[in-house]
Amino acid sequence: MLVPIRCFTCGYPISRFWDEYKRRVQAGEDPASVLDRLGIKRYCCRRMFLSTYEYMDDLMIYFKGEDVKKSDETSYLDENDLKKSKRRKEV
Amino acid sequence: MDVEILNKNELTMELKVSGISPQFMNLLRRVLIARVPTIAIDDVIIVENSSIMYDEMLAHRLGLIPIKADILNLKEDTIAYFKCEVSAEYGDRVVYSRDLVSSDPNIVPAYDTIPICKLARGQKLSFEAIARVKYGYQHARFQPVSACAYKQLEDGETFIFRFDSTGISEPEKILQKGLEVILNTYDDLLKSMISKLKE
Repeated sequence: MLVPIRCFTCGYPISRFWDEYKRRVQAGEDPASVLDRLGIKRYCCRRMFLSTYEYMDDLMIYFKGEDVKKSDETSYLDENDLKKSKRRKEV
Repeated sequence: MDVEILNKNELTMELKVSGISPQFMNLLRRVLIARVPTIAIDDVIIVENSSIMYDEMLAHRLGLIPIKADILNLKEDTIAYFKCEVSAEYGDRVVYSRDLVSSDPNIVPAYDTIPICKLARGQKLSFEAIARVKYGYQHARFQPVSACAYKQLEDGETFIFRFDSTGISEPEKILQKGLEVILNTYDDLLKSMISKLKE
């Protein structure tokens, strides 16, 4: 769903680095060098970053917020969200 | 018995301990993992949660957040209350550990950037949490150390002992507390032995 707060194996709190890791990898850096620079040494902690997929982002667009539900005029899904979901279906 | 500090930073400590038996080295390791009192979120009262994440999962994530406190002066009944009220009004909003407001300025989450939950526009999250002092043998979230291990060198009496703090305290304080726990345990044993022998 979201990044696990700690490494499953050793319990090291890894999630505090997640935002920086994601930003730098999306900017095109090599995940291995990002992890090295963040000081993640053990391979149990490194696989946590490499194997995490935040599927909460995918689910969120299909749920409506409380106050939006009451008024039918506005849908929670705005144009960007629709584009995103369309793109996902194409893939 | 001799100790040499090979490496030390804010989270990790590496020691070279010589003239000690493997049994005693293992005792220290196991005490650090399981018997050092540590504070962590133990009870969560969820007032409102309209996010996708289930209440149980949210509570589980909250429990795993390392909470920084003065570990040497923790009492059995030390308690801290946390409050959090976040609503996403404009767009997606991530709830971070820095959004937790503590009742005690000395007991706060060890890191500010731990993502707890994600809210879509219009969703709300509101809860209170109670942090209590417990031990590693009760639940892994009360462990003060993450990786904690030693390596025996060839002479059989020298060890390289390395451990990582989870951020709840400095590693040297955790080590000090662990040794205090061992001393107190044997002190209690000695006292009860003496009183039994007097009878």
